[in-house]
Amino acid sequence: MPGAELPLSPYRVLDLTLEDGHLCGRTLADLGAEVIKIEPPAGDPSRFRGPFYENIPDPERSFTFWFQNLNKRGITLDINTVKGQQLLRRLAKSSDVIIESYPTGFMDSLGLGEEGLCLENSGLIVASISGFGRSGPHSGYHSPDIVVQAMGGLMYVTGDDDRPPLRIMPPQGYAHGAMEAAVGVMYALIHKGRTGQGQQVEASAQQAVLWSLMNATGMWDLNQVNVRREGALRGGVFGQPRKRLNWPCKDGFVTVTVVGSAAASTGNSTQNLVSWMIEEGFAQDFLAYYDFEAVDWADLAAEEYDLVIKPFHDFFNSKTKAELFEGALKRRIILYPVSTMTDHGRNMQLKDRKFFVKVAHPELGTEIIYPAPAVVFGGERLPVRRRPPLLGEHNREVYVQDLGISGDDLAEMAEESVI
Amino acid sequence: MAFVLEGLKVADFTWVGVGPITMKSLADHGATVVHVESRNRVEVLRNAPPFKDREPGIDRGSFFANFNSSKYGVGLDLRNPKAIEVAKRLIGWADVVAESFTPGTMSRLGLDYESVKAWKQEIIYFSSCQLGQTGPWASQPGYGTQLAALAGFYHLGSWPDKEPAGPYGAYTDFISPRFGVTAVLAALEHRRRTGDGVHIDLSQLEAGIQFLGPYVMEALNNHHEPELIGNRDELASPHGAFPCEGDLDANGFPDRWIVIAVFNDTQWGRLCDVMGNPLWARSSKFADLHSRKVNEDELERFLAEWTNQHEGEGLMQRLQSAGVPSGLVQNCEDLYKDQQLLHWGGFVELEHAVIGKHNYDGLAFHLSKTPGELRMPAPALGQHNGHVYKDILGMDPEEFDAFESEGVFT
Repeated sequence: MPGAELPLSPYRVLDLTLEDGHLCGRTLADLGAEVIKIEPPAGDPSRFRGPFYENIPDPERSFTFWFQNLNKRGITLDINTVKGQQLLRRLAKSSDVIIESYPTGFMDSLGLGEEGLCLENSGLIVASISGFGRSGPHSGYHSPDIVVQAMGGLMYVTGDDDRPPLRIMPPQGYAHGAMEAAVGVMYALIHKGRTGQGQQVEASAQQAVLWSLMNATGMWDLNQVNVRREGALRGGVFGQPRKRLNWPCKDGFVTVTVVGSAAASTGNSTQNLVSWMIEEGFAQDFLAYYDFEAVDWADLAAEEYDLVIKPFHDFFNSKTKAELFEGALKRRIILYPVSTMTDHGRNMQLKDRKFFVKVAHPELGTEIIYPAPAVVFGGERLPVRRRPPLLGEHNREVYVQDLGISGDDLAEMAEESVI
Repeated sequence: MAFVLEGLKVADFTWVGVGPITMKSLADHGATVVHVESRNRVEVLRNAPPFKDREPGIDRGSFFANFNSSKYGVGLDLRNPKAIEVAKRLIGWADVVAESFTPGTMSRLGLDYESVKAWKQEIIYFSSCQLGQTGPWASQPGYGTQLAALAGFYHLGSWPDKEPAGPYGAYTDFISPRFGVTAVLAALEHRRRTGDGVHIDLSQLEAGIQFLGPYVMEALNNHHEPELIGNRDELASPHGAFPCEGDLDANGFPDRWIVIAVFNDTQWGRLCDVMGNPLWARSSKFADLHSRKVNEDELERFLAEWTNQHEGEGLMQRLQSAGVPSGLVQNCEDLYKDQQLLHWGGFVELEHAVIGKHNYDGLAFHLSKTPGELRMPAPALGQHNGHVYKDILGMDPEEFDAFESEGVFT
C-alpha cells in the first residue's frame, strides 16, 4: 500500500458493539478507518473474558479484548444517561458509521436508533449486529455465541456422533456475524462515496453461521439427507462407510484424504504418498499396484478399506507432523498437519509472510505478539497502527480536541460517571 | 432499486470456495460478473454432491450453484493458446480480475497482476489461495478441508479425550470471503479517490486465524496451549448441549439437543423457575456461579435428566420467554423450517437451467437502501457464451464460431 493513506482513511467509525460485534470495527480499522471504540465506563464485557496475558485476570490484559480492538482508539461513555446520549449524538454528527450490537430495540429506546441519529447526518451508516436480525419471532432471543452456533446449524455438524454437538471456541458465531456486518458496511460506504447517502445495515449472526455449512444445506434441499458430525472421519453422508480424514501420527494428527478418484480432485496426491511409502518400505506389494484412480471409494467394502489403510496408519505413526508435512510439500501430497495454536508459532510460511507482529504495550513494559491483518494490499500487509486502547484512553483526545468540550466539563462528566 | 455495484465489471477466473463466494457477493450487489470455467478441467464443485435426483452431472449439483448466483458463466479453456487472447479481452473489459489458482498459475498464462498491470494500470486484481502468494509453502495445493486442519479448527473443534474432529467441510472457505469482499470494496474506494488499481493477496490460512485470535495470542505470548473445554464456558454454568425428547431424524438417529447457557445467578433463578424449582436445584452446591462451576458434572447430569423429558423447540421457547439463553441444536432439515430464517430470507429459491427450482443460502446482511439480491441462478457450464462473447465483448459472429469450433470455449 503506497504512502500513509489507507483505503478507508477518510472515514470515522463509532464502535458501540459488545464482544459479538468487535470484529466488524476491527476490520474497518485495519483498512484504515478511524475507529473509536465506545465502552461503558466500567469497561467492555470482553475485557473480563480470558485468556489473559500471563494468566493474570485484569481488564487491561485480556487477549479477547486486545485482539478484537487492535487499531482502534477508545473512549468511555454511559449511553444510559441523558448527557451520554447527547454526546453520542454530537459524535455521530461528524461520523460516517455507527456499529452497535445491543439487544434489539435498546438503541431506539434511548432515542439513538438510526432515525434519531440520521436526522442530523443523512450520510450516517448505522450497522446493527444481532443473533437473529432485528425483527421476526426470535429477534428478542438471548443470543450468546453457543446459541448462535446451535441455531445456525454449525454445532450439529461439529464433533463426534457419540457425543453431544460441539461448540467451537473462540466464539465463532460472533465472528461470523460481525464479519458479515463489515461486508455490509463496505457496500454502504461505496454507496455513500457515490451519493453521500447513509443507510442501515443489519446482520444476522445465525444466517452468517449458516453460510459455514458448505453443501450441507443443499444436501437437505436436493437430497433430503441430514449431514451429521463424523468425528475424525468423513464421507458417510449417504450412509456409506466413513473414511478417515484425521490420522494419528507420532506427535499428533495429520489431515489427508486417501483417495484417488477424479471426483476427489486431489491430482496425484495419493500416488505420490504411496511412492514415498514404498521408498521407506511401508507399502506392502499390493499397494504398489493398487489403482487408486479406478476405485470408487464411496462404495469400497469395509474389509478392503481396512486392508488398504493399514500401511498408511503405520507410515504416519512412524513420523511427526512436521516430517510428514515437509514430505508433502516436496512431493505434492495434499496432506496438512492438524495444528494446535502453539504450532502457529513454528509455522515457517506465516513467519516468512511476517504474519505475526510485535506490538509495544509500554504500560506493561513489554511487546505482545499479534496475528496481523489477513490482507496483503498492494504488496504490503495492512499495518498495525496502534495497540488496543486502555479503558478511556482517548477521552481527552476525542472529547476535548475533537468535540471541543472544555477540560472542566470533561472532569465533571467523569465525576458524574457519564464517561 | 439500483444495486450498489451497478456498472462494475468483473472477470472471475476463480474456482471452488473462497474465490467464487467472494465474487458472488459482488454479483449479488449488482456487478456484472463473468465466471470463467472449462470442460477440460471441470470446476471441482461441479462434480461434488448434492445432485438433483442423486444423479451426478456437472450441471446437476447445488454445491457449485450456491456459490455462483447472479453470475454469467462462460467456457474458456485456458490451456488453449487462443483462449489467452480471449481472456485478455475479458480482462480489458473488466474493472476487477479475480483468480484462486495455486500461485504461479496465472504467471504461466501471462495473466498475473504484473503482466495485466503493464497494459491496464487501474486494474483491481484479487488473488486468493491456501497460504498466500509468497513464502516457502505458497505452492502447496489443497482445499479448505485441509486448510481448516492447518488453521487449527479441527484441533479446537474436538473433545479433549477424542481424536480431532472439527466442523463439517471446508470451514475456512467460509471465513476468507468476508476478508476478500471487504478488501475488494476497499480497493474500489481507493481507486475512486486515487485512480489507482491494486493487487490483493489473500491467504486462506491468515484469514482463518482471524477467527482464532485470542487463542493464538495465548499460545504465542503465554506459551500455553489453550485447553479444550467441550461446551463449557469460563463465565457461565450450566453452558452446554443437553438431550431432548424427539423423533428420530431422517437417518434414524435420536439426536435432538438444546443448548442452555446461564451467565449469572438471575438467569439461574429463572431456569430453576422453569424447571419448577426441583429439590436438587435448591442445593447450595448450585447456588452461585462459582459453586455451579465446582459442581458442574453433577449439575449437567441433573439438567440433562430434566431436558430429556421435554421436546426441544417448545422448551427453547419457554426458556427464552423466561429470559434464559437457549437454542435448539438445529440440523439442516430444521433450518428450512425455522420461522426466523424464513422471516429473514434464510433461503432463496431460484430456477436453475438444469436443476430446476431449488434453494440457495440467503444473504447474511440486509441493506436498507441498496439491498443485494440473488438476481440469477448460477450458470450451467458455458451457458452465457453467446451473450458474453458477442454482446458484452463485441466479438463478431464469425470469430465466435471459429473460436467455438476450435474448442477455445470448451
